[in-house]
Amino acid sequence: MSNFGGDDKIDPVLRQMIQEEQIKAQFQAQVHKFTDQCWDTCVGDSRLGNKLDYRTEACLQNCVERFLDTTISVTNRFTQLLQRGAAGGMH
Amino acid sequence: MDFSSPPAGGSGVNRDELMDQVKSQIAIANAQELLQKMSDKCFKKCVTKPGTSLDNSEQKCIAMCMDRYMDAWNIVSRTYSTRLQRERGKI
Repeated sequence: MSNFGGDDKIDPVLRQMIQEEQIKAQFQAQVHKFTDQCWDTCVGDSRLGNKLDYRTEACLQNCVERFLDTTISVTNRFTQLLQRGAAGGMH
Repeated sequence: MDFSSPPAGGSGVNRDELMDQVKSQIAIANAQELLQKMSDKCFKKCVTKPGTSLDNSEQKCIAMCMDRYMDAWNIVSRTYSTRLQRERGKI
């Protein structure tokens, strides 16, 4: 986040309010990203009806949760690899 | 999101006005993202053989696709929010 050219010049209440809006905006951006990916995975080429069926709803929920689990797994394992000094051919 | 330029009006702009501007810029960006995603997905789904105009069935398909995409978006949003709260509860 850019610092408006000098943090001490910014009203701290205002800065706090803007940070809150940024956090909300980041949340929205993630929802867009997950919806994009999980739509392809769960709806894909299937026919659409007047509502999403139960299977598709469950798939969307699972997709979000498993994507987050994957991110956590990848991060944890990568950390271990770095600590072991064995991160592939990275120098 | 670029906050690096000072708000118009400089010191004359009060905090509430600025926050209204920030919130509304974020809301507009959010809506634009949603529109772009829906156009992409629903074009792919509904317009498989582009003709010289969108026929009735294509238009109905697009409308249904939009509704389902927004349903999916809401499901993803709730799932992600719940998961974040669960993770926060673990700290």
